[in-house]
Amino acid sequence: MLVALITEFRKLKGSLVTVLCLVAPSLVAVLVGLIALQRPNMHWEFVLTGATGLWSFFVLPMSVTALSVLLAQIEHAPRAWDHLLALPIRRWKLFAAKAVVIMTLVAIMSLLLAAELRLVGELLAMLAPTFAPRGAYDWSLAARILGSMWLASFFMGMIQLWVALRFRSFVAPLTIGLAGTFISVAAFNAKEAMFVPWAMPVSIVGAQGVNAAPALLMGSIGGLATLLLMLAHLSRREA
Amino acid sequence: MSGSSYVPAIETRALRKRFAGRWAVGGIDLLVEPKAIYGFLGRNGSGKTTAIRLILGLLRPTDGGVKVFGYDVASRRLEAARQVGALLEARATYDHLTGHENLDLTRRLLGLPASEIGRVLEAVEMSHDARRKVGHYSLGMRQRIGLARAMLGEPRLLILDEPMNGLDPDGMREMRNTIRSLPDRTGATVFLSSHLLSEVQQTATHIGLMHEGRLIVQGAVSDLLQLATPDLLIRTNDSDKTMQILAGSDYRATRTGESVHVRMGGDRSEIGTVARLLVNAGLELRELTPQAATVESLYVHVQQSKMAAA
Repeated sequence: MLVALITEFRKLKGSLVTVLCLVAPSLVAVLVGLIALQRPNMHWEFVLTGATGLWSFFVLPMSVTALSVLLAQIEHAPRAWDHLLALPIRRWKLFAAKAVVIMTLVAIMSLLLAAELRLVGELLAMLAPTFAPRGAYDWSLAARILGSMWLASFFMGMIQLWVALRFRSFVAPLTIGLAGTFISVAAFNAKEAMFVPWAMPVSIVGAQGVNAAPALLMGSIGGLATLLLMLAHLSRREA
Repeated sequence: MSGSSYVPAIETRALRKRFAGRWAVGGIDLLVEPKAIYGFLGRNGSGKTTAIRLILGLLRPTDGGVKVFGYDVASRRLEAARQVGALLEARATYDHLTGHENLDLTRRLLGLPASEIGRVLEAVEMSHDARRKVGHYSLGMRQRIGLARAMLGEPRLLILDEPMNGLDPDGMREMRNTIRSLPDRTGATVFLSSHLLSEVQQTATHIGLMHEGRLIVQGAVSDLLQLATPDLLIRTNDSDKTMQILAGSDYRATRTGESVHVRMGGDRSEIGTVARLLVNAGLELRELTPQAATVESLYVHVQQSKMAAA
């Protein structure tokens, strides 16, 4: 399994995946910086909640959609599946490696976002002190919110990956990702949002956090169940 | 795996695969001897690629079974796969990585030492270009990297699906020489598919001919090519009279402009018979050229010889 995982990460060298991982959290950090320039001296907790809300609301589901498409298209585009699936290696390991990669990349993006928000705060303190957030940057709060969002995105990530790996065309996972994000936006703040995989990360900060615990539970259990079903299905499927 | 010393490289039993109500492979009994170069011939759509995918365990048979060096592909896929290296699609490489990096991915998955990459690159004469991105390779170079990847770990069986596709004449010659040298250099059995008889007859020791999902014939190249007597292209001073004379004989002739094509039977001495027939009729022979045998002509000849035998 470790070998399959290392191989998957090595495939990413020089691919668009690296660019996406850098750009997506940076977009949120830059936007938060611009908002801060309009509203002087916001409290760090408010900035963090707003930034992670923006992240989970739109950038995270769209990033997961794009990542799933890119990870699957690395194999679909050159028709590399036949080569991989003919190798003397258990097929589930190849698909499980993809799942670990996508969730690791989301975790890295979340860490980047936390670090970049802190950096934006530092830059504001240096260049425009009146607009810098008040109080101390709460790393534990950032880790708690982003970590919960990461876990809650497991269900969405596995659905997206399954569809992206199943269909050679990128249209299916893209459509599902767009539809899921749209539903998530429409259902924002509704109690039912916690049942929509794409809205589960938003539930961590949305609706005053009342849906956070169920969203976490369903995100992780749903993600695990989907992962197991995906491995069983794709490993048995004819190439 | 059986305990006897002789184990075929590939053995299929009544192998069948049905797609969308149609038999893509309609019950084939392949037998590939160890260390042979087996040319798997057939027109596009004849079922070659489906058969190869069944052999590799990428598809499940509707009926029948496949053994690779005695390992049943359905029940012991990993053991069977360990015997095989495959080149299925020349473009099945990661364009954003170098040739070396592409090989390294497969090497890691196979658990082989790093030195293995140098060996296979040398074997396909790609050492100098291995550090360039595959996206900048020509099709011929991609084919060679694909072949190098199939050779990683010195598999006992190499399965190459249309390895000459898209290659220029130089590329084809190089690929042919590489393939021809494999059994002696590595002891591997080579199973290569093609829709070009001319290509296979220069490389293979054995041939299997697929037609509409069925294996029409298989055997040694020398035996089968005897059946594929080349057709004749004839030009005389009077094409009309040539057609009349041939129509009065047992030969089937067709005319294209001033050229007359004569379908030959299984005996090469008939070429002389046709020439005498025309000259004795007072015609002036301007050209008498045996045409290169094709998969189609081999198929026709095999069918004719079967009917004659019946």
